Amino acid sequence: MNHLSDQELMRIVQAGDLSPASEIYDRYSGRIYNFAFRFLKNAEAAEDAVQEVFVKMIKYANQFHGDAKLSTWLFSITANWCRDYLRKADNKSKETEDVLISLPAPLEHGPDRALEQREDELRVQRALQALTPEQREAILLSRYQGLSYAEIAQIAGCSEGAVKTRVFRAMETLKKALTTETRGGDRWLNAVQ
Amino acid sequence: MMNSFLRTGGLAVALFACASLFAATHTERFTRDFPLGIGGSLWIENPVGDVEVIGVEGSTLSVSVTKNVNAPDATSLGEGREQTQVYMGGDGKAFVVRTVVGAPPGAKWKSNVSYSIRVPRVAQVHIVAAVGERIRVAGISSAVTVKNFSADITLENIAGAVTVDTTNGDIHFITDARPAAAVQLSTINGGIEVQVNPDSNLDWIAQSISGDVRTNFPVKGRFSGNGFRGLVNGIGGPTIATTAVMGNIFMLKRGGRQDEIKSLRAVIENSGGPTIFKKTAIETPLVQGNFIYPASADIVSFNIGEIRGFANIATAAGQVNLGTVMGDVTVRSGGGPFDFGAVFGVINAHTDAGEVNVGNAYKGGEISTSGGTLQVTFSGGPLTLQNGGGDIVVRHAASSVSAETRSGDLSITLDPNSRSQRITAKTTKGNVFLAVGQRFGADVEATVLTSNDEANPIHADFNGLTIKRDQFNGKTRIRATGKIGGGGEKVELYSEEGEIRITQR
Amino acid sequence: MAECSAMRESFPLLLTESLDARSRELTHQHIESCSECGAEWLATKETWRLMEALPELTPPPRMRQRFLAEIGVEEKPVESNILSFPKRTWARWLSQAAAVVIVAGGSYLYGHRTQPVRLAPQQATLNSIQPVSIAESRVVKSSALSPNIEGRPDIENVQFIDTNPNDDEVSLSFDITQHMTVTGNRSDKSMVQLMAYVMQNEDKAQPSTTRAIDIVKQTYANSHQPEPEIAGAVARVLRNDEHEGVRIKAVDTLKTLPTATSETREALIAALKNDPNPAVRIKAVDALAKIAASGQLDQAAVDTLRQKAMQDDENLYVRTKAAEALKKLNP
Ligand SMILES: [Zn+2]
Repeated sequence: MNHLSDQELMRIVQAGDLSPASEIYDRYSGRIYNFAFRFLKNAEAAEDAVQEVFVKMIKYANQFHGDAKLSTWLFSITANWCRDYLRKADNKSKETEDVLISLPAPLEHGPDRALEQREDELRVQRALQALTPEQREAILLSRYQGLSYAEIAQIAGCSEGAVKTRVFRAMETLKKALTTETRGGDRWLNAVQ
Repeated sequence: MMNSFLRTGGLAVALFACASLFAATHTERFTRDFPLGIGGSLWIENPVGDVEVIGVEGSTLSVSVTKNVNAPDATSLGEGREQTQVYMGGDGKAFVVRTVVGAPPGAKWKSNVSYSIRVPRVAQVHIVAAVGERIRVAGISSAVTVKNFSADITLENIAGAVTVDTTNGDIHFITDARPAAAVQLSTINGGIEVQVNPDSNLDWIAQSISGDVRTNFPVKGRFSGNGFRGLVNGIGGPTIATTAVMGNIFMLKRGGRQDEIKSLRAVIENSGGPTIFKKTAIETPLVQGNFIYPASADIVSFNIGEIRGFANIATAAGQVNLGTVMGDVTVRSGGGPFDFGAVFGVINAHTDAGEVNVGNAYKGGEISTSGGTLQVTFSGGPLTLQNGGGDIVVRHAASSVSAETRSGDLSITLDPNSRSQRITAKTTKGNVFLAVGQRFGADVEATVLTSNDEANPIHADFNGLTIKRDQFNGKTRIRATGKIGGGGEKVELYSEEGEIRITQR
Repeated sequence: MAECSAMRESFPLLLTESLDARSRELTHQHIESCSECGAEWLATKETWRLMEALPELTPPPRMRQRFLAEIGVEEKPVESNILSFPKRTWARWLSQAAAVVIVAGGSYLYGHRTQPVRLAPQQATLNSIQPVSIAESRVVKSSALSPNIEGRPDIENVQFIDTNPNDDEVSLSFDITQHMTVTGNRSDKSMVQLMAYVMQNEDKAQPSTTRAIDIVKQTYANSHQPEPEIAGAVARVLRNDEHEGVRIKAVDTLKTLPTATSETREALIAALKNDPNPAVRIKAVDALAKIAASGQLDQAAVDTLRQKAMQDDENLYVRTKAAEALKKLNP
């Protein structure tokens, strides 16, 4: 089954045979999970998102048009689910708590390399959480999923121009968060002089 | 004197003394010399016992071994001696010293091996020593690594790169020189003391979730979360990373003044900056008025016998035990269990992780946990319970109950004299048990969603419930509806993949 | 200036190489001629690179099972030392079991006429509503049953009976074609297999996994004899069940079982590392600490606890618990 294209697999599903479901899941679950996790910063919610996206894919298989890209369609469902999730106010508090360490630029291959990597990861994660959901959605799909602005526009339900602006704004914010901290930081303090 | 902040490692001594009270002890001592070339390395593995390595001039490696075996009788003493072996070997480049203890489960004997080693100071030294009283390495100009579970670890005048990992041990890194190579020290439950030349330049990282960070150096840096990073003196020095998850970290001038030591945490707090996490416990038998502990980033555990007013607590993590509270209880915790004895006001409590145990909730309230068992012995007011995963148990409810868990069993017992109460109980995975009194009346709607199409999952000690089955989302849905005891408030019970049981007592 | 801001909006497109040749050329020309935009371009590139720091996460395998179960697609069962047999109907399984009984137990089918037939006590806690007539019931000694369960029989109405908690004798009764009660020592191979089966085959056996785990806990907790099969089955539930309530029960039960197999330990380590529910992780800390404290220091357990204590983004309470657990290990 792994030699069939996404469209061919979906045609089988549309005909009522669910056996390609696991193959489609294997192709896309990783990308969807990573997108949802980075978007929501909540592992449980990301699991629920993956589950519901694929169940919806099966349930509404007939709404999928053969000329569309399956990835675009799946990310539309995912993005919708995630937006709904954030809209429910009580979910906000469930975001995984950040315990972030912002530190100056790493030494090249110092002994605390792993620590630095971990810090970079946390910094990026926190910087992403500081974006508006629209910006975050756009930058995640563009930077990590490699989707075109046209595809993102379709997913976000906006114009390509709006996507361009969202990605740009997101990059401006991220730039500030990620590059100024490495340059020395904004709140240096003289602890003991 | 510097040791005052570190716990002393007296435990091993105590054990030793007890064991030798009536026991036979056998001690062997011997010394062996070997050649070790320039650039050679020494590897030491010792599961139980002390290690001392001192760098010397020349190219001779000298290993002194003290082997101790304690046993209650001669036979096991012999076995212990047999099963505690020291291996040494290698070439001019790498030399291995290893203790092998083949203690069978339940062995009556105990043994330990201590090493005192003289090694060419240019050699690299690698030590893996799980448990001991003391590890000391001094005067080495090359790299040193130590991996350990619990021991007091002292490194003196090491010029090469240093990595020390211990779980329960303290670490002392002391040098007269200005460090030039990277140093990485980490302990979970111990403390860290660094003493270096007062003119040292260092790029210092200090991380601790519950300890303090103190220094008598001029430093410049910033806190973020539970970590500090900054410069000691000025730029240009190596990185020295110190992590003591639960303990204190000291960065001190060699020969400096004790009274100049300042707490970075205190400085930050005074300047209104962010705080690092600090673990504290608040224990008191009685609070006369209201007890207010405002939102803080600290890990604080509470153990309070009685509060005459209300309680308002927010903690980053920690357990909250309250005996009796006369007023309302409002508690938020980033993680940790709750135990409330008797609350005369309304409860509003949430923890991100952990079990919740409430004795008497006289006015009910809202209680939730992101995961863990949630138990209420008595509730006298409307009670709303939410569980992110785990059972919910209410032993005696004299008022309405609304309970929901993502997965787990729900068990609710109503006051035997209650005539009617609104009850909502929902689990998306598990069983629902409801016990009512003889005079209880309600409009019941019980629903089970199951993938077993032959299941018969709803049981009631009553007649008059109508059972219907249909298909829903590819599963079988069984619903029992009707009036019991002549009808009354609505009782809604819902279970997925479980059963519902309503009993009368 | 207007030109500058338009140029800068195109930077991300330049990075993903999605500008057409002309715009690309124009943008590059501008970057070279305008020093401010040149600096911005470098910063944008650096930011784009720094974003690489996010790790690529792998979804836990239980999610796949959860999805396939939801839509009713059955995959070949993953390797399991208990149930790797093709599906058969319960009737065939029963005849198989009966046949085994005849061989192993002498003559069960004849023998039961002369032996007293026990009826399952009605106070048992599950689904005991249908009356069971004596003619329909069988009581079988577990020692007379083959320890291998053939196929995946549908069993219902499972009840657990422990008439005397002070001895090791327990009974498990259930419906196949008729009501059957298997009695025997809790450490009897067949009894162990049956328990493990009930726990892991919720779709085939009537009690829920949670209830089955309760039964297992009641039977094997703090017993003297380790039952690796049981521990393994609980460990598999902990690894694979999508419901946190079930996993919480599983981890609780693992803690009470007498010895830890490598499977238990690995399941606990995996739970502590990856389980999304903090309560499961807290309990995994306790259970691992208990294992690590029994006998020799367990290096894998100690390493995982250490790693948790150090992990920046872990729940602070979990970190503190991990550190406390390590502290108690001090020999
Ligand atoms: Zn420009």
